[in-house]
Amino acid sequence: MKRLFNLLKGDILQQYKYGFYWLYLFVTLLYLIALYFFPDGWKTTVGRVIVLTDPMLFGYMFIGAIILFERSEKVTNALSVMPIHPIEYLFSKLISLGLISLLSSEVIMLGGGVPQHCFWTPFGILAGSFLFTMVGMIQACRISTLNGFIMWMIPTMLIAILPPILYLCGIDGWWQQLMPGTAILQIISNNHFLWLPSLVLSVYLLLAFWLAMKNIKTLLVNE
Amino acid sequence: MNKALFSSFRMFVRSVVSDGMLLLMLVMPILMALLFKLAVPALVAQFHWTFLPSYYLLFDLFLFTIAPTFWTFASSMTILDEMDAGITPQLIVTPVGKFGYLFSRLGFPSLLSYPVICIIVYFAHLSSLSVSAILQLALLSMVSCLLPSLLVICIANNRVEGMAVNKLAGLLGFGSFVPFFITGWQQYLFAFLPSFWLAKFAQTDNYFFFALVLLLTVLISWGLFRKYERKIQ
Repeated sequence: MKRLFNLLKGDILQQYKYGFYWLYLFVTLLYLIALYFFPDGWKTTVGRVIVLTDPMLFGYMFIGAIILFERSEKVTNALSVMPIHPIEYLFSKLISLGLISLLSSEVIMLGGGVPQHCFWTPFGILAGSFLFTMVGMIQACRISTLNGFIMWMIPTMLIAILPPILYLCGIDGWWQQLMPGTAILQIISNNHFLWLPSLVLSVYLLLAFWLAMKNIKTLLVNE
Repeated sequence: MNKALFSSFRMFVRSVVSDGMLLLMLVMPILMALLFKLAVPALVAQFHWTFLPSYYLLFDLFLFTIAPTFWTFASSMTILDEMDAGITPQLIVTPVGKFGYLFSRLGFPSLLSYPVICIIVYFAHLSSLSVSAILQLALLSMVSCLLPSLLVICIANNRVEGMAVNKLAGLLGFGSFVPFFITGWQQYLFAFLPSFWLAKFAQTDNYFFFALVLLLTVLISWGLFRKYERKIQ
């Protein structure tokens, strides 16, 4: 637990140093200003689209660069000879990046007047952030350049974003119910337990966790 | 000098070919153009979003920026990789030099994106744009899309900072939206953005705005290049 806490502290400090907190403060403020100009009837939909397309995917967008940078700076070499378990490395990244996702999303939703549930909305945002950050980790462990990561990023973002946006537009097919983005959207939009989206999201989370652990173990051993 | 420049550019091409980015650079603008051309009118018909046709010019302006943004984005990511790998200082002491290095990484892809923008917009535009308007707006888009990449290269010291700056640099294109949504004097608060004047030019065909885009882009690029020179000294 102490090792996880120390890793987490290091990750948060690194993210602060590289300006992630200031960046997202600025981006969040811009989104709030943009939401202010939308008519009241649109605010809920637009607010949810913003949360799903940006703050929730924050971890995913940055994890590729973080892992590549750690590899080039030989941080993973140092970690591989330390008594750190891959699960601690994974949790440290998930919690530190998820924190920024959650803070930014909550400010956008509260400030923009988007209705939310006190438990299910933050739960859905965090679960979504964890899922896509793990997906990013799996991809980042397998590439060696930023462009290589971008190659993965575009189809992943399309799979993450397109189904929930179509769902919000009223296009609702059975296949969308099986997509992680739609499951997250349904969880953050409702104020009670939904079994199908929760089941779908749990399956994706477990699969991503298993693959992420496998890849991190390889990363730490091979470096 | 020219030989060195082309060698440096070949090095960039090899890098984007090896990680598959070249395919994305070629396919993505076409896919986006197809999506716009087919999906936007379909949405208008399906959901009776009658307000959308008045923003077709805005969609077209976005279409103009896809190819140069993608291509220069790939360049800036390659430059960040080279920065982290320590290749940049070795390259700039060769006959390529500082300017040549930047030109081979950003200038060439940007220039090559020009015909791609023209062809894509010609076939996929939604508003009533003439051929000469397409040629002029493509030129302005090509030039102004250099700025986000220059900003990333000048400010960021590594990949992580690069991704953060890239996120902010993307906001430089925000100016295109302003004339469409803010009609009062407040719109001129965004006058420092070349993309703002680009949208004004697209709306009015006033060549004063055309000149302003070029002037602002040259001034900002010059400032950024000076910063880049100091940074890598």
